[in-house]
Amino acid sequence: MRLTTIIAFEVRKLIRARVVLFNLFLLPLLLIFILGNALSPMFNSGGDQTLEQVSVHLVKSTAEGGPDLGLEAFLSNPEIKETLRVDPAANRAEAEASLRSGKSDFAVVIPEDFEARVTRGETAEWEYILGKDQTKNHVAEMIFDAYLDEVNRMQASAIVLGPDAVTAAMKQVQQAENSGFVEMAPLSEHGASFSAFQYYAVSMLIMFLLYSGLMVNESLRSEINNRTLYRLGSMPIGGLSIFAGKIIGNGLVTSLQAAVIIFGTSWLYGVEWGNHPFYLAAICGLVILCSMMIAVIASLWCKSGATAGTLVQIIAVIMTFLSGGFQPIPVDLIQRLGDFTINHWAMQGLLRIMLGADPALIGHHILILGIFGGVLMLIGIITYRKVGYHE
Amino acid sequence: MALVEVKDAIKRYGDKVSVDHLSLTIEEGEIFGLLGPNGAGKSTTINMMVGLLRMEQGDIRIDGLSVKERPLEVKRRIGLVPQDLALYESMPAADNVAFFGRLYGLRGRELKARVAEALAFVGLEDRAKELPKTFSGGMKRRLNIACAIMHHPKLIIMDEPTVGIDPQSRNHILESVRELNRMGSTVIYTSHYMEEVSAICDRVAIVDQGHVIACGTQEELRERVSGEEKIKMRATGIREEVLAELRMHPRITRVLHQEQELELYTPSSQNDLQDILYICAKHDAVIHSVVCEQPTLETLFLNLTGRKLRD
Repeated sequence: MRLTTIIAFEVRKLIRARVVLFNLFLLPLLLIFILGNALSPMFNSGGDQTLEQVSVHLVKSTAEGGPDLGLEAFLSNPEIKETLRVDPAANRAEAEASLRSGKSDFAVVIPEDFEARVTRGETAEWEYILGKDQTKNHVAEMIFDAYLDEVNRMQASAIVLGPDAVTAAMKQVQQAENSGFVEMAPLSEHGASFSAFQYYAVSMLIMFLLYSGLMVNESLRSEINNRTLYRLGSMPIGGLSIFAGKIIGNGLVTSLQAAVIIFGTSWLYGVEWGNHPFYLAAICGLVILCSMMIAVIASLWCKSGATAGTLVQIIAVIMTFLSGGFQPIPVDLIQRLGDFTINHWAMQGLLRIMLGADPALIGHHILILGIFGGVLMLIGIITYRKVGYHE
Repeated sequence: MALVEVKDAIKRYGDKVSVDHLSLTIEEGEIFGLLGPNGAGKSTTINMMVGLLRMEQGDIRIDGLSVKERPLEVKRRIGLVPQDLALYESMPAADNVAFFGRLYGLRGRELKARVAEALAFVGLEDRAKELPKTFSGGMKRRLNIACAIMHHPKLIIMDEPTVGIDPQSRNHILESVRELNRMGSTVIYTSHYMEEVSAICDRVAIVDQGHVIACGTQEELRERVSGEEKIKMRATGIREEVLAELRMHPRITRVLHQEQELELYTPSSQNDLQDILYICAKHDAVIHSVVCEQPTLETLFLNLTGRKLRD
C-alpha cells in the first residue's frame, strides 16, 4: 500500500506540473513535426530513384602491360558503363584537381604494387577519393568494392584450390559476365519504405523515452534538496520501496507519453505504426526499463544529482546520434558503434513493425532489447546493494 | 517504564567519532531534553533512533523493539520533526500532511480526520489549501510538526524545531510540545538553546563530543553546580592587577574576562559582591552594570567542559 502511495504521488506530481506536461507531451510532437517536414527530402517515399552517371578518374600507377585482372572487361560491361564513365588520370594530383573543379565525381588510385600484392595473395585495396555528392560516392564505391571482392575471392581460390580451379571459376565468371554484372531490383522485400515523419516519430519516441530516466533522477534530487527524502527515510517504508515507487510512477507517466506520441503522430501526421501493437508496447516498455535503469545507476554512482542528470542526457544524446536518430549517417564506424546502442535496436524494431516485417525479425530486436534491459537491471540491483543511496 | 533505551551506541564518520559509547534511558510520558553544542552528536543519535543511520556498535530499543532488528515497526511508533523543513512546497498544506499520513497507513475518513486534527493543532486549519511556499518561516515550522504527529506516535522526536523563527512562533511550538506530552506522547527535544530545554523538559541529558556528560532532572543537574553563582559585570578600566586580585580572593572560583565583560563565580554572590566592588574601585575600574545569576544548565555545561554551549 505504501508503494502505491509513492507511485500515486509521483504520477500526480508530474501531471500537475505544466512545464513537465509541455516537455512530455507537446515537445515531442512539435519536434517530430519540424524534423519530419524539414528533412523529408532526405527520405524517398518508396519510389525508385534514378541514378545519374558517375564520372570517375582512374589513376593507374601500375606498369603498362601488367596483368589487368579483368578490370577492363568489368568496366566495359554495358550496365557498368551506363553507371560509370571512367577516364584515365595521369596521377593523383590531376585526379584531385579534377574533383575540385567538378569535372569528375569520384577518383580511384590503383597503387603501384597492386598486382604484386594480389599475386602474393595479399588483400587487394585501392584508394578512393570522394567527391561532393554522397549518392555518387556511394554508387562508385559499391561498384569498385564489388570488383575488388571478386579479385580477392579469385586469388583466395587459386591459393587454396590451385590454378585449375581458378580456370574453372573463371569460366563461371565469364558466364556471369555474359549474364551481366548488374541486376536491377528493389532492395526491400515488399518494396515498402518509410517516410521522414515515420522515421522521426520513431527516433523522437525513443529519445524521449530514454530521457524519462531524467525524471526519476530529478525527482530524487528534489527530494534530497527539500529534505523530504530524509523524512521519508524516518517513516515505515523501506528505501527500496521509495526507489521502486518513483521508478514505477515515472514509468507509468512515460508509458502515457509513448501513447500520446504514437496516437498523436498517427492522428496529426498520419504516421503508420504498423499492425503489431503488442510488439510496439514491448519495445516501448523495454526502452523505458533501460532508461530508468540507466538513471538509477547514474544516480547511485554520481555523488551529485546534477552530474547524474548530465550523464543521463549525454548517454541519451550519444546513443541517439550513433543510431542515426537525428539523421541517418552513412559512415561505417558510426553504424557499427550504433549497433551497441539501445536506440538502434528499438528504432530498427519499430521501423520493421511499421514496414510489416516478419514477426520473427521483430522478435529478434525485442530479444536484444530485453538483454539490454536485463543487464542494466542486474547492474542496477548490484549497484544499489553495493553503493546504496547516498543523500 | 523505559520507552527508549540507548546502549553503548557508537557512530563514526571516517576517523571522526560522532557518537561515542552513548547510553541513555527515556521513560514513557516524559519530555526529555538532549542539550549540547552544535556537533555534539545529538542529531546523529536521533538519526540512529529512527533508523536513518546504522550504528557501528550498541543497540537502541524503542518500546521494547530493536531499531536494528525491526526498523519498520519502530518507525511506526515515531514521529520525527526534522531540524530542516521537510515539506513539498508546491503541494497544499493538507496534501503534505495527508501524503505522510498515508505512509503511516492512514486511509479514508480516518486520514481526513487526522489531517484536520493535526492542522488545527498547529493552528493552520485556515491555511489547509494554501501552498507552503507562501507561508512564513514560523508557519512552515508548524506544518513541519503537523506532518510528524498526525498518526499519534508514541514517541515524538523534535530536532531543533525552533531554529530561525520569531519568538511568537517559538512560544507556540513550545506550548505545542507540552500539549502533545499531555495528550500522551513521549517527547525527545533537542536544542542548543538552554532556555528552551529548561522551560519544557522533565529530564535532560547534556551531550558533548558524542557522549552523555550529565543526565537527570533539572533539579538534579542544578544541584551538581549549587554553590556556584555567577556575577556578570560590564566594566571599563579592568587591568591585569584587578584580575590578579580577584583571582586571589579565597571564595572566587573562576574569573572570565573578555573586553568589557567580566564573569565571576562564587558560592554566594550576596556575600562576595561587596569585596568584588571594592577591588574594582581600588584599581579605578568603572562599573556600568552588575547582574547576579543562579546556576543554570549552561553553568553545568561550562563546569563540565570549560566551554559555553554556543561556542
